[in-house]
Amino acid sequence: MLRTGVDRRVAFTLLAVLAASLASGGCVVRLAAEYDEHVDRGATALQQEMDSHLTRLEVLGADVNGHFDLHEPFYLDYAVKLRSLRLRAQAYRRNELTLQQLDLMLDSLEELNRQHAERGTLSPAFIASSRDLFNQAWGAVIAWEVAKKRGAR
Amino acid sequence: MDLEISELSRRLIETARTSLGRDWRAARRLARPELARLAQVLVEIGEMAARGEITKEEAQSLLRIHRNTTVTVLLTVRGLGILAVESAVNEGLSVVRDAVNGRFGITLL
Repeated sequence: MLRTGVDRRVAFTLLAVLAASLASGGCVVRLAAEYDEHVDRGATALQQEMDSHLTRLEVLGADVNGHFDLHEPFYLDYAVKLRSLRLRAQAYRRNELTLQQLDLMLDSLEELNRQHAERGTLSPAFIASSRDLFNQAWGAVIAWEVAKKRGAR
Repeated sequence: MDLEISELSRRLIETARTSLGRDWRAARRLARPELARLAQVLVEIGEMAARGEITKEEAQSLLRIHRNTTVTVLLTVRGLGILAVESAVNEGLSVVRDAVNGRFGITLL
């Protein structure tokens, strides 16, 4: 008897992949992409860069050196690196969750960029909260990438 | 304030648990503290806006980044559920491998 929804789900998936495995001669099923060290390292580097950027802005406060005009290159460079990381992740099959996560990171970056551009400088409270949120989001991206190692989780 | 965070956290976790259904069990250890942190940040954003420490526009901007972060965390939770199913399927295949290969006399699995 199949006791739970999980049992039924696994049984159904098992039958489907058994047929696929028989057809292809394969023996290990993959429902998500493989771990990619480049994505792992890239995401870690981008987390550090954003933390560093926001910490610098926090220290500068309303000082003229915290003005958007002096930091615009950071946003452009960061967006290029983020899109490059997305391109790397796109090379793998079954990597849709990571791609969605990176799209969300791009959207958050655009939001931060827009706010900084419109206001010139950002308030300390805004900077601290956005840093926490970026760190948490990158932490989730990295946790998912590391989980793809299988067996290591 | 603690009560607000705790209630918001409870609702966020309950909503995620319900919507993720079967995937929740595989990811709850990661999901619970992450969603609790998100609930805390959400309350803090409201309080900072009420105290005038951030403008209305900054609050709206933080809420958008907060929403993106919440979805990012939930996508990881979903992924952990998918890996749990993958692992179960492979264990199942491993169990039937000998029987299937023996039945047909060739290595199919």
